[in-house]
Amino acid sequence: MEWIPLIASTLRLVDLHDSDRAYGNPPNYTRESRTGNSDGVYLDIALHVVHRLKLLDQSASQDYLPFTVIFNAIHEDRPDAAEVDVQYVLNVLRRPSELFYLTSVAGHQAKVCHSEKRETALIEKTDYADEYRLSASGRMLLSLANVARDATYLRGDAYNLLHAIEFYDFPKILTFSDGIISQLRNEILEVRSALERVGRTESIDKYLNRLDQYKQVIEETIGIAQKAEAQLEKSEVLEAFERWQELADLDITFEHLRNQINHVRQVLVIFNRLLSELVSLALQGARSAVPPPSFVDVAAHFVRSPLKLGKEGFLLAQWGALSLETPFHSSLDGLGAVKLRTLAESVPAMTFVDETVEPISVLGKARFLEKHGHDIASALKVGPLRLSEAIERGWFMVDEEMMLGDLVGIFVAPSSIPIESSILIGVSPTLDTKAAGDGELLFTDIEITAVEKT
Amino acid sequence: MNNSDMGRVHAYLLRHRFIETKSGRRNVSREEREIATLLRDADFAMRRQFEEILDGQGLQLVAFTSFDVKGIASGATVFMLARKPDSAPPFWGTERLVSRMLQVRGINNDAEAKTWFTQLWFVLLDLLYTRKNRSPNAMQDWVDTTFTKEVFIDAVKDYLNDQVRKIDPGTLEVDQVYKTLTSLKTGAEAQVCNAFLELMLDAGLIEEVNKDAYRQSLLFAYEMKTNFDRQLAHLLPSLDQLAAATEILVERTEEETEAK
Repeated sequence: MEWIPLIASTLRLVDLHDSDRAYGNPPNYTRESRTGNSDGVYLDIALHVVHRLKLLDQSASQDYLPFTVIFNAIHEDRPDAAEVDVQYVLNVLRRPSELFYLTSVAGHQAKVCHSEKRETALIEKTDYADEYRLSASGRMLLSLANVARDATYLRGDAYNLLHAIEFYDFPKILTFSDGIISQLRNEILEVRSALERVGRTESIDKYLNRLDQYKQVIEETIGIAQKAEAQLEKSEVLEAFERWQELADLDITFEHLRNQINHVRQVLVIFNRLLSELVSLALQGARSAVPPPSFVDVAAHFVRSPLKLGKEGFLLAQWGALSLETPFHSSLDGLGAVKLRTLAESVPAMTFVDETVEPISVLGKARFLEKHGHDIASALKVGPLRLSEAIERGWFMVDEEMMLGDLVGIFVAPSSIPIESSILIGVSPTLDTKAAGDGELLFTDIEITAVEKT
Repeated sequence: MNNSDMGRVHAYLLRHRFIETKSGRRNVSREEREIATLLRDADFAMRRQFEEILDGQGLQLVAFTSFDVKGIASGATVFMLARKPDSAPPFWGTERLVSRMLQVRGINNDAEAKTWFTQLWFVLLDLLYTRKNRSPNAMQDWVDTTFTKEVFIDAVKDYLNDQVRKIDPGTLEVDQVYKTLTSLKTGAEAQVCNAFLELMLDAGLIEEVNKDAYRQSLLFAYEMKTNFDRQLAHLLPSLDQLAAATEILVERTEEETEAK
């Protein structure tokens, strides 16, 4: 932002405005040095404030910013700035001064002196809270620093956008489109509030006087925005974007660019529609805005002749602080309000019934060995025994029960076989099958051999 | 948005009346953001269906972006549940309003509670509109309406002293409102004002900008803009009648308008 030329170009005018030289006195201008600390600190703080408020203005649409936020932002750049100093700068910036100037009036030879207050306040403070925002003049300051721009210069901005696409200057596309959008948003909000206000306001006249020009500019700008959209859709742009994305380390997607340009056009359309609304209102001559009634007098009237019960109820229902939510509940309303406690299941006390206790000795492996242990031992004394052989001999059945698992167990860990010798285990490299009962048993054959101890 | 989401959005909106996808001023809770996003991304048919249901309940779903109203964060969408004029369905309840006002010592029954609320509401309107020469249509100016609790209490006291207590009770045919307004002990006015501001805050009609500093909410400004001409204006005493009956309203209004 070029502040210095702005200050430099207005300083002499301010000097002349403030000059107390009597008319007819010697012509020399004697004031050579300016008062002040000559270090530029206050100006720096002021420019920070304006910059900070400008950022807010773009993001929050004319809302106010609390002092603490402003101060913290300044503190980042100027840790030496004290709170009172920032407060002082804010006080200076929001001071309205009366400016006197002459303008010529049609039909009169002599110029007429005018005075205007408020116009010099660059920021506004909200009533009763320590919060600030840019004033119209403050925004003007930014525009001037940016070399006089308003909606009539929009076309140029839109061309910039188009050129940025043509030159594949992708970050600039976002800068230009953001600029156009935030400028238009301010203009749109100004028109909207001007439409609502009582009587004619300056901002509405600004549009009415140059309406044709505005209309033309906006329509042409919409055309340019459409061109920009079309340009962006070209395949070479997408290719250039992909190349650029590989080189540059910026987090922008093509989709985002497209949305942003689409947004520019939408905003232009809104603005165009509002301008048309403005024209029709201006043609009607009458404005819908009415001055407010004196509401305390209304209240006093109702003391003298009270509202009928029905009317009072109606007034409260339509305008009062109602609770609407009474009969409706969100699924989340009762979340956690009721604690669920799961009761432990009641377990009957244990009792022993003597008859059902089985003798442990006849279970499992012991039972198996009792039945087939000796057969296996005598077979081993004769020579090596294979699992397949044992199955063929039917040693997997104990009484009516199938105990194949126990048979395999004996072959894998044969130490429990009642025989004196050590036992070698050999495993066949191939799978074997055997019909057992209704099905087929698939297994690896195991061979055990008794080896005499030496 | 499916039907279950719609119920969730509905329930939340009925309670809070105002939701936004993001804000530059306050922390938006996760639930609020989710609900606002559900509503923003809802397909057209569901949104339409939701609006029709609300319509039957005398409510209107209003959506604003930063291009519609001042004070909305860039890129955010705000949804509000505004009351439609002339609907007043039976579930709109004043019980909470009455019970809160009854907590103030000196307010003894429902009628007194309602009278106090109505009267204070008009004083607040005076502060928000008449004193700023702001048209009831001027919704955009809601960001400029900050006032402190102290200013409001003073306005109420001034009203009671300058207008109400100067009435000669002998001239009144019905002195019920007069008695209600003059029966409070000194000091209790501040309590009534506190109760009133609390209720308005809870209903989303004003918002707190700072400790003890408030401003009109966008919802209030919107209801005023859309419903004033169609409804409130007709409930108010007509200006001509008032000129004959009392003496001041018309002159005062014109004078004030010209002065500003």
